[in-house]
This record gives sequence, C-alpha cells and structure tokens, in this order.
Amino acid sequence: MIILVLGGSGSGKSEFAENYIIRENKYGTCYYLATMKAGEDEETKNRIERHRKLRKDKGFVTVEQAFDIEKCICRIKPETAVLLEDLSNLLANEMFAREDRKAFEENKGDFDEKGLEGNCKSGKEYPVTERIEEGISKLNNHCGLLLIVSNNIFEDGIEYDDTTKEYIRSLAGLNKDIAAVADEVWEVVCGIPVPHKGEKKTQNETWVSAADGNI
Amino acid sequence: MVLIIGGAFQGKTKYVKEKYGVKDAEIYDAVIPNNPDGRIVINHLHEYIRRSMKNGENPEEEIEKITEHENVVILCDEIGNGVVPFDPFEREFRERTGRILIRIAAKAETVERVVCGIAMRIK
Repeated sequence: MIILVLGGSGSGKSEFAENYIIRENKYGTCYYLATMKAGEDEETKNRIERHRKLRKDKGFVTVEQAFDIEKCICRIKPETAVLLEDLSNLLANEMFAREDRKAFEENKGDFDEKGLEGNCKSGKEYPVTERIEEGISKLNNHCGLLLIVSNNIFEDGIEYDDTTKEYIRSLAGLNKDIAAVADEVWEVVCGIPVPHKGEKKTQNETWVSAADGNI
Repeated sequence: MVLIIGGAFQGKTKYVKEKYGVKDAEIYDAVIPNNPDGRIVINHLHEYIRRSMKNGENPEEEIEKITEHENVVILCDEIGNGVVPFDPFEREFRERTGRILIRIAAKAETVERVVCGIAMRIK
C-alpha cells in the first residue's frame, strides 16, 4: 500500500507524514528512510538535525539510502511500515550527485550495451525516473505500508535552465505515476492535510502538530 | 482568526471583501498595526515577513502578538510551491513564512485557500 504526501517548502508535510504513518501503522516496526545526502555545509546539517528532532521519540528506525532506493530492502524487515523522506532529494541525488550517473552522461555511447547498472537504456528520455520507480515498486512489494513524501515545486512560474527543467519534469512525472497507483494522496497546506485521493476526510485538529509552541 | 492562503493574484483580496465585508480602509497592507482596535485585516503578510527579515527584525514576534487579538483576518501568498531557490535568504524566507503560516493556521478557526478566485475552506 502506498500513501503519497505532497507539500511545498515549510508546509508541514513531514510532520503530517510522520504522525500519519505512526497512526496508520499496523505493521510493527516503522522505518524512516532518509534520502538526504549528509552534506558538510551548515544548512544541510541543520536541516537534517531539525528532522531528527522532529521524529525523536516517535520510535522510528532510521535507514539512510541516498541512491538506488531498493538497496535498503535488506535492512528493512518485510511487512513493515516505511516513511520515504523524501522523493525530491532522492531524484536530485540520482540526477546530480552520483558518480556513475556523471560517467553515464559523459560517455553515453559506452553504456549502450547494459546501461547504467544494467537498468538504463539509452534512447529513453528520462531513465532516472524509471530506475526510481522500479526501486519504489520493489520496496512497496517488500513492506506493508510505504508512505512517500514529495514536494510541490511546480508553481513559481520561473523559466529555468534545461537541467532544472528536466529535474522539475522528472519530479512531476514521479509524483503523477506514484499518485496513480497510490491508495491515498494528501497535500499539506499550512500544516493542514487536504485529501486528493482516498476515502479520508481532513482531520485538521489531529494533525497540526507542526504548530506546537510559538510562531 | 481567519487565514486566507493562495498563490499570487488568485483573488484573495476580492474574496475577503465579498465574503467578510472588508472595506479598503480596514486593510493593513504588509504592515502590522501597533495599537489596533476592532477588526484587523492584514494583507500580503509574506511581504511584511520579507521586509522584516531584511531589516534584521523578528517577524515571528510581531505576528504572534497580533494573532492574540480576537478579530483578525490574515491574507498571505503561498510562496513555498517552487524550486528551492539558490539564494540563502530566499530559502530562509520561504521556510520561515511556511512555519509562520502553519502556526497561524493552527490558531485560526477558519483557513481558506483561494485558487482562481474560488475559495475552498480547508479548516
């Protein structure tokens, strides 16, 4: 079962996702699948630290996997709950941060035979999203509940360079494909979950935990 | 308290004028009033937050204070639905605005989201 949670920057999507998966989890262990690449800069460190604080005491088992998402399966017990946080980082890592991807881009011709790790076939326009979707599908078959957090980055009306455009289009493709197979799709707006797919009604009061404390 | 959220130029101001009978003279545009009485209507909250941050002030404090009043209507643009900006100030601006809106939404009785002039009550 897949649940997709979307939201913009500072929307409270992570807080909602964490609380929601804990509530919906009938599978025992709840894994937090962190895709952010631990960086050296202060901002990344602070960001990771903020998320650690947020989920402290919630009982998650953290698993880090910045690429090849299916490779985490050996560290996750079958039929458990997994919170993938988040898809936009995973995509960025796959597109811009992996060494073999760079080699692939530079020497596309050399990879024609088996592609990148045997998955990429040249001639396909956006092989990265296919790789990610394959990984997600394997992960979903392995666990009982997979909650995927993703971003809404599509509404700023800015004309970006080709690389950024490819990233935006790829993330939109992933969101659409996952939403199509998901049991539930939520969008978090100002900490309020708005349902787009599934049976549930908005449950504001229960989920606005992002707002604890003062502004 | 009422919070109206939505993208730029989606008809938020027109909507509150019609729905809540707000007059132009009542509206504080990107300003937090010092000693207000009666209903307080604050438009373009994101612009206030940006200016306040630029001046090295603490927008959270002033906004927290104003939300203690009973009769407050706040209008703010949704600014978080884009590509993460390259500029650190812009990144921080989006994050802080988002966090402030979460807090306002939690305290508000009503949150409405305006898209293409159409309002959807989400709380």
